[in-house]
Amino acid sequence: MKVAVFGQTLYSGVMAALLAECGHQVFWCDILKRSASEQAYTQDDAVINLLHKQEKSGFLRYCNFNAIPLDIDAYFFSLSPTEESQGIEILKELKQRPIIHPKLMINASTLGLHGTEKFEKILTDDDWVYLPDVIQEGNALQSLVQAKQLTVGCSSETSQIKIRELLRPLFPREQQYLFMPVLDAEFTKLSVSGMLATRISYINDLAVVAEKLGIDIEYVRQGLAADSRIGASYLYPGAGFGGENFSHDVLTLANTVSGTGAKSQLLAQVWDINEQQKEILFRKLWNYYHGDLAGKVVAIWGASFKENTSRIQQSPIHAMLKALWAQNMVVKLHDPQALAEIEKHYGHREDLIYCTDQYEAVEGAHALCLLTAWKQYWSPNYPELLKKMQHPLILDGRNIYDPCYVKAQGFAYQGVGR
Amino acid sequence: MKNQNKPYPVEDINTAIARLQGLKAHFEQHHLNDLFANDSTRFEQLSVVLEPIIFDFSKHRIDRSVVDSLVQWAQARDLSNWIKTLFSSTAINYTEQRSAMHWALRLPKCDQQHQAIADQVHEQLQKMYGLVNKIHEGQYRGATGEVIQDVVNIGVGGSDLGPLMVSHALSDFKKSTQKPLNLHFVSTIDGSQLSELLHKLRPETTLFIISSKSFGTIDTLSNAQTVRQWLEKVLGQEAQTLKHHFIGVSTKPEKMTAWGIAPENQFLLWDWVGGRYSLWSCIGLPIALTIGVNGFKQFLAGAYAIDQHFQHAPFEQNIPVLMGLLGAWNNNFLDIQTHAVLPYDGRLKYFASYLQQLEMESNGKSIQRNGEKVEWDTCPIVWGEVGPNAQHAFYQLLHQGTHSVSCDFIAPIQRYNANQFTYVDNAEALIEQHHLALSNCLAQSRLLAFGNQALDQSELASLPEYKKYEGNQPSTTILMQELNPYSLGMLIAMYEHKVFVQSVLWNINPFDQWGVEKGKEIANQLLPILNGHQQDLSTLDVSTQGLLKILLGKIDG
Repeated sequence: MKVAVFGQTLYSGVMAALLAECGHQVFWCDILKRSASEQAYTQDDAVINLLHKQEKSGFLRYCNFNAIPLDIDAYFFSLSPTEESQGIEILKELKQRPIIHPKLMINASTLGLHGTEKFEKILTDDDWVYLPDVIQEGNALQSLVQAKQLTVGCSSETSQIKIRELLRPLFPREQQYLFMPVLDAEFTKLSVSGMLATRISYINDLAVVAEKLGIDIEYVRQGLAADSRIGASYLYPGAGFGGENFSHDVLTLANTVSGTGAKSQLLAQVWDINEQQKEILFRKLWNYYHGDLAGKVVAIWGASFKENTSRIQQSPIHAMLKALWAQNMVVKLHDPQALAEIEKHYGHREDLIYCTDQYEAVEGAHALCLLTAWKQYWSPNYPELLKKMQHPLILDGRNIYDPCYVKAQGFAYQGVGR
Repeated sequence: MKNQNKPYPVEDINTAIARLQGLKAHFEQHHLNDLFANDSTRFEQLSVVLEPIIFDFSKHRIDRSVVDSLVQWAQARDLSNWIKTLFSSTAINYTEQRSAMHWALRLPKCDQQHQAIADQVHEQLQKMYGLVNKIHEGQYRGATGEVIQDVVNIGVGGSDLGPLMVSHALSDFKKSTQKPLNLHFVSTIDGSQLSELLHKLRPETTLFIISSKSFGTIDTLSNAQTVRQWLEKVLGQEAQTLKHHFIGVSTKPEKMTAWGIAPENQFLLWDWVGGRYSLWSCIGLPIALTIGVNGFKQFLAGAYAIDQHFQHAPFEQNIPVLMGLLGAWNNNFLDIQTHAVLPYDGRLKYFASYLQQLEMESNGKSIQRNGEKVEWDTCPIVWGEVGPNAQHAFYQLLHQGTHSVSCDFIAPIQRYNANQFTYVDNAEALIEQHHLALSNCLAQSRLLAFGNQALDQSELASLPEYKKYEGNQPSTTILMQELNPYSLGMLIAMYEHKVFVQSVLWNINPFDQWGVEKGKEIANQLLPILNGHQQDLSTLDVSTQGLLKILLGKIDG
């Protein structure tokens, strides 16, 4: 098939690479292209490698809008929520072209409920399908190809046949598809994010209680994970979840629920708990110093919303900076990749010192806050920390250290829920 | 005050009064219907516009000659000089040797005339604005580091009524905050509000404002003590519990410190502000927390506009002067002994009780500045209620009772027009309700003034006596473009200066309150008896002895 891909998300990259690998002729339109540092897919080496390979072999072509042939069989749209209006513009331009309809139109963007319908209203003669974004950052290719079953929103028989043909090399068996109406699939997609967020907020909520009762949440977490009905994923207590898409899904779902007038408050609370959690290290710091924080220096390790990405959308770093600055504290910040993003956001100010070396950040610090679990933070040089810090306090926002060991090195240590 | 060179002819008081007595005889005979029939320009003649306020006094039992004579009276009383004295640092409150400079609280930051005092005022305001912004940004934290989400104002009298009235009145201008923020008011000495409130709050996220000019008011301190125990039970008896959960507003820093208010949480006002005039100072913190810093600045600006108007407008066009004169005319010449305040806007629910304190505590006096008994009846009974609700309560008496009552009708022209988040979803239906309230407002003042004349004349003849209306009840109608921080600031300042004008006419000191001091002392004498520390009742009157015995029996049993 000839496939045109629109959008610059990680999902676009994965799809373009995998479809090209299967022998489809893929035309990736450069509309919406941003600088390399902002492209989600450029942070995943496996995706990049596969894309290079396919470009070399000629199955994948990067092109501008006008170079897209008229005989494309399938159009794939994966836009970020903020690009909805641009998506509409693209569709309107496609409508002007002498294309023989119907074509297979795949909406793979998460635009909330009725997002696909909005697109369908512009190109009414085509076969529309909603293919939810299930890509996990850091594990992009595998998260798609290893999916047990694909949820597909699709109401007509003909479009089912087309989408199955498109994905047949990746998902050959009939039971690998779960077809349902588009709206139901859109709701399912949001519900998945909602469920995951609920698990995180649940464990964080338990962590607060565990602290008060003198229980180590890490034992509790392991016990929960050992139960086959529950499993281990998305059960790590910490300084809260972030990320643009995930947060957006949860908020959209919470708003959808409250918009229907249903009494459910679960998701709103899931969100609130997480917002609270983002500044939990600040509260620990506040308690430790009895609210006497003005003028003190804090080192923060990690600004990105999770490791292996430079992205900082909805990251706990924002809540932390705001809270620390409100108390007139100075922040020395290190992150292996995200400093440039932080600088774009906050610019230069006296109470924020950018450190390119993680040990430079702790110099003169009254506390070290670990916010993102980058691998390079897992085994710090403790004597070095002791030497450089003004006061040896470690606040571990991801529970990556062994409390006993850290304390034995001469530090005051606090994790989340332990 | 001596009669110096005046730009207007000043008569002596007796001449002015004599003419007013003459007019009284004439106007006692005249119905408002006649006055309106005789002059079709009454509304233009007898109303003042001071944007955004329209002050219509045409439904009073007066004409131009009465206004002129009343103004003569004010001039004979040397009101102009008294106003100058008020707007100075002179100790105009002579029984306490203090000036009364509440006007200074709304001076702009740079004021050529009073720069030193403006600096002093703005230093405290700036400090308060800092606190307000911190709370609004969700960065003011309790002892555990959690964000403060409930603020409780503990105060009584001026430290309660003013902030409560204004916060309620401006609830549509509630500032949208980072985290939900709720305000509560606690005043009663018996703890009834606290017992209702505390079990709904979390100590970790609650901040208390202890607001007391003297920091010695037992009502406030007893409530403060109760919440302190409530906090310490959960958060521990530590300095930081007090530091992160208590704000103090007072003239007495040393007393705040002794109580445990941290120095950075102390907000000062001055002896030259009377409690009932203090909502413009940091006593107004709950107001600023409701409407935000910019809203509070607007509120002060509105009052400042009236300060300017009061000092510079000619008396015939001067709203506070007219309000004072009309009140005195009704009270002293037409023998109307009560005055009802009737806002047609539910947000002004507490306005009448606020004015009760402002007017009755200020002018409920009977000794002149020269030490002699007053020559006139002073402050009338002030009462009132939100108009549409009062229509179902006491309007019957206004329309068909035997008392003469004067009224102030107050209403905003526009409402629900700002797309504020608090009502935006229902604005359309609510606007219709507002129009309903406005039509009721106009209908009532009409009926009060004109009685049967306002009814359908063809049906009148067949009406039984008990369905008829006498009318002739005078009223003022105050309209404002909308009820917002600025216009409310104006409205309050209008009444403040009205009170001052009347105090000058009656030659009394409106800034003291000796009548409420003694009760506090006597309560202090009786408390040891009730607590069982003192047994001897013999010095008390038999009635009090009898009651105490019952109370003691109950407490013991």
